[in-house]
Amino acid sequence: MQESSATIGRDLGRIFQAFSVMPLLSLPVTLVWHELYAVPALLVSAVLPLGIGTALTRRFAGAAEPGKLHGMMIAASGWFLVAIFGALPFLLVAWTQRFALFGAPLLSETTAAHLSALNAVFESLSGFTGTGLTMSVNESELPHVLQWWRSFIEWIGGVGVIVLTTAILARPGSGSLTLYESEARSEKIHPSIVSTVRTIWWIFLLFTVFSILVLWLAGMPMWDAINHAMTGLATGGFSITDGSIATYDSPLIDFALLPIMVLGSIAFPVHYLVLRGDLSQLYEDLQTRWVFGFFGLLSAFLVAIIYSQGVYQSTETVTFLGTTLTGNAAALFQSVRYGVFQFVSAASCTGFQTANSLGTQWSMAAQVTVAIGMVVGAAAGSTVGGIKLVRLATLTKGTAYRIRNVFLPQTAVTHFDLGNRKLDDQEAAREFEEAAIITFLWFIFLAVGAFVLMLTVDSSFTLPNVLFEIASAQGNVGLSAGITGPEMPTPAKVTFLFNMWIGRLEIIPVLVLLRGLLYREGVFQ
Amino acid sequence: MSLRNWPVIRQFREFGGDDSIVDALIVVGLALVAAGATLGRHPAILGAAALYVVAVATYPVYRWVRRP
Repeated sequence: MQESSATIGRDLGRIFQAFSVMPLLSLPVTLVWHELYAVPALLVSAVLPLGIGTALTRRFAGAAEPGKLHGMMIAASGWFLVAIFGALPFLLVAWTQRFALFGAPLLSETTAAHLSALNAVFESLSGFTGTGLTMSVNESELPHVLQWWRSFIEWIGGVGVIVLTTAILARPGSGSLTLYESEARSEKIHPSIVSTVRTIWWIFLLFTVFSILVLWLAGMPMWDAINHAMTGLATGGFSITDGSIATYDSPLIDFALLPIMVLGSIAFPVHYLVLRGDLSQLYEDLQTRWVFGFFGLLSAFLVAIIYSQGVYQSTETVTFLGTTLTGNAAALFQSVRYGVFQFVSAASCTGFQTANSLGTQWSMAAQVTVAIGMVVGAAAGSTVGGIKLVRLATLTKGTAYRIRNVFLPQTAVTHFDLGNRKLDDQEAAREFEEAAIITFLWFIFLAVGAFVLMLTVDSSFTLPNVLFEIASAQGNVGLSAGITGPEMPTPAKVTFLFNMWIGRLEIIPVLVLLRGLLYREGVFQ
Repeated sequence: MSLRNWPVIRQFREFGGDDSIVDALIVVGLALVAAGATLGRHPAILGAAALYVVAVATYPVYRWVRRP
């Protein structure tokens, strides 16, 4: 066990060292926006993890390379600890403003929420897990450096702090493959895991720049475009405006964000192959096919619901690309605009909001459709949360396979088709079991979280509200029924922290970590 | 010494992928973002940005056409 602690300690140290670069990279924002009072806060946020990380790596320099168990424990503990360090800029900038240090401006009510360490950790973990639930009531009141920090941690968290660490700090054969797998991405692009994660970052950087320019061309100011491109592609959903994307009230911006969220929902190995000219992957890859099918069908269903229920019948005129629509055409246009956006936002686990009426005018059927998107998510190997479509595909096809086999003679030779793979009975059972376990655990923790919330939040919130909010947290989505906020009771905040954490890591690594800790303390023998 | 062997560019390339056109697209895109941030919505930058978006979006098709 001591050897394991050394390995985990050394690799956590490397992660902290990598993290310490992030506040330093944020320093130019203080210069551009004349917020130099935030420089000491960023420097402290960099020096502290760097010091601890260096101490750990030196102390455990000779530790053994990590195995699969270590990889899971490092992923789970690393994610949480990095989120704690990530809370430092929120906390320190808020306290700098509180005491008016270094010429800081007056503390706004929104920034004041981050004087609480728990709120700051909540914001940070929400960012690193790509959730997007927030303690910031009016995001536009935040200092630019904190707006940037929120977007930056979502961007980094989108592909993974651990992927970043393996990309920068790993050496060939250093066990980075194990770390990479435990972070819920098992599809590889290159034989070398180090080159794989570097390629993933390369693709991510290209798509980010592309997304920034798409949003800028659609009419967003450049600062807004930079932030929303980062959080949209990372399917995180933090916004720098008070009303999320609804603030712009622009159909063109809504439509421009759709491909960005979809890009974040497709597995990175597929992006790599498509960028190399293998366009057939867009329909040959099982997950990608299911992403397009799932998004298309459920979006159309949602549009049909909100149009048939006349949610936007009162829309008098809409102008889009110089064309003015009136009457039924305007209502249909608005239904398509809001319905497709909200479904893609939910299923990609982004959590951007354009329909302010989602929680008030939309029927329960429409809200349940959005919730299905949040729970299922999109492709494994992308930046999304949720159960993932590949598991839904496995469970659906696996159930049909089991039933079909009942009608066949016992001597019949069968195989289970999953995408391009033909699995024998044993392999099929393993795939089916894995999907079933994750799905089962997902719903167990959803129920536990909902139960705790029911006991702690204001009684005016109904069970559907609570289920929606906890599914949003655990699916790392960020759409809110209005429960999340700085006034939320502490047990509810802790519950959300736990659900966001397990949701990002797909539960198993967190359970392995908790079992390891309990075992070490002699609680679990 | 060739430009692609300069230390900074070499590090940039080593960190990145195995496609020099993608490398170039990233650099040009970052330059356009910087230009847009400093100069605003100048028609020339808007035009270049629109061209850039089309170039990135059609790049996979270009690679597909050139496949052996």
